[in-house]
Amino acid sequence: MYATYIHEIVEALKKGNPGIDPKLAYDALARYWSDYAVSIFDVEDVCDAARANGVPMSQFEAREILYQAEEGQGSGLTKEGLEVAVQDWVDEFVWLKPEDPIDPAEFSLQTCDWAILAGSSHNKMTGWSDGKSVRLVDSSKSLESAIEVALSRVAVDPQLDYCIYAVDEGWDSYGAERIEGNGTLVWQHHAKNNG
Amino acid sequence: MTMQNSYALAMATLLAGRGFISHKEKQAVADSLKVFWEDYALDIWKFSDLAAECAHRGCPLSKDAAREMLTSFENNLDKHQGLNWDRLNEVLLKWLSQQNWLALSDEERAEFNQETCVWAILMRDSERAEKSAIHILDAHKSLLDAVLFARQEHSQARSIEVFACSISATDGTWIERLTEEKLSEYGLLVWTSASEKNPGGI
Repeated sequence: MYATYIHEIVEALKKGNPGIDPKLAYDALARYWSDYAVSIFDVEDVCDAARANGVPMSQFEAREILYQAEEGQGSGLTKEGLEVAVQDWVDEFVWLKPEDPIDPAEFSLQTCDWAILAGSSHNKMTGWSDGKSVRLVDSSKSLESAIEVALSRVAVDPQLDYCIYAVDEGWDSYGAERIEGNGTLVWQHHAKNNG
Repeated sequence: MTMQNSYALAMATLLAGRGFISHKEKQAVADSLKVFWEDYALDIWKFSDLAAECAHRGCPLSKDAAREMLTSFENNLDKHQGLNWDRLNEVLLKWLSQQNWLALSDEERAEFNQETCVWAILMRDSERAEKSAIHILDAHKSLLDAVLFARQEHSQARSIEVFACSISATDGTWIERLTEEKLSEYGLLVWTSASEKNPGGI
C-alpha cells in the first residue's frame, strides 16, 4: 500500500487515539501492508468517471459506487470497471421521484455543468441572457444552486415548464436538442396551468 | 464481512497486539477505520495469491521474495489494467529471471520454505549414466533441507543437482514418470554440487 494511504490511516487513527505514536504506528502498518499489493480507487476516481459521462455526483453516491465496484469486482478493479459501475448507477438512479426526493445540495462534486431549459419548445423564454432558451450553470455550482437559478426564473415566467439537465463540462454549444438528447434530466418544474 | 471490514479489524488487532491501543479500544478503532475506508474501493492481493502462482509454476518462494514481488506488482500498477493474474505472472517471471539460485547462501536458502514446490534431487553417477537416480523431497522442506540432503549424497563419483518442481509432482504417477530429461525441461535448477565447489561461479 502506498505510503500516502498509510499516513492517512495513521492520521485517521490519531483523531480517535491522540496518544498513538505516528511513526511507530506507520512502521507497524507499513510492515503489515508489505504482505499485500493493493490497488485503491477513491471518490476522485469516481468523480473522474462521472465527469467523463457528464453526470452529477454526490459524496454519498460516490461511496456507494465504490462499495459496489469493490464488491462486484471479478477479475480486478480497473478504471474501466469503475466507469461501468458509474454507468450502472446512472442507468438505475431515479432523479425524479416525488415520494423520495434527492437532496440537491449533495450533488456538488463538480462533475457536470447544469443546463436549464424552459418552455415546451425551449424557444419561448424571454428575459434570459441573449434571449436564449438555455441557461448554463457551471460545474462549480451544486444542483441546488442550479435549481435556485431556475426557480428565480419561475417567478418571472411562471407559464413555462423548466427542466435541468446535467451535461458534460465545456460543451461548445448548448442547443436544446443536444441537451435533451445527451444530457441527464435531473429536475423539472411544470407550469401551474399545465398541471 | 466486507473486505474493508475484515482489513480494518486486522489492522486494529495488529495495533492492539503492538500495544498502540488497548484491546478494549480495538473495536472502536476498527470502526473508525471502516469509516475511513468508506471513501475507497480496494483490490487487495495477498501473499497466498502469489504463493498459488508459484505453486502452479513450481517456483520456490520466501517471505522476503514475496514482499519484493508484491511491492513491484503494486508499484507498477496501471489503473486501466488493474491488478490481475497476468500482471502477477509477469512480475514473477521477471523476478525469476533475476535470481541467481546457485549463489544463494544457506541462510537465504532456509528462507525458501513456503511450500510452493517439491524438490527433485538428481543424483548422477559420473561413470554409469544408468545409475542416475531421482529423489523427491516434499513441499514442507525448505531449499536448504534439499541442499543439505544433496550434500550428504554427494561424492567424488556422483554429481548432484537440485530442481524445484511443480507441486503437482507430488502426484505419484508424475513422480514415476519423472525423468532426467523432464527435470531439465520442467524443473528449475536451484543447486548443483558443481556450484558448491565454485560458489557463485555458475
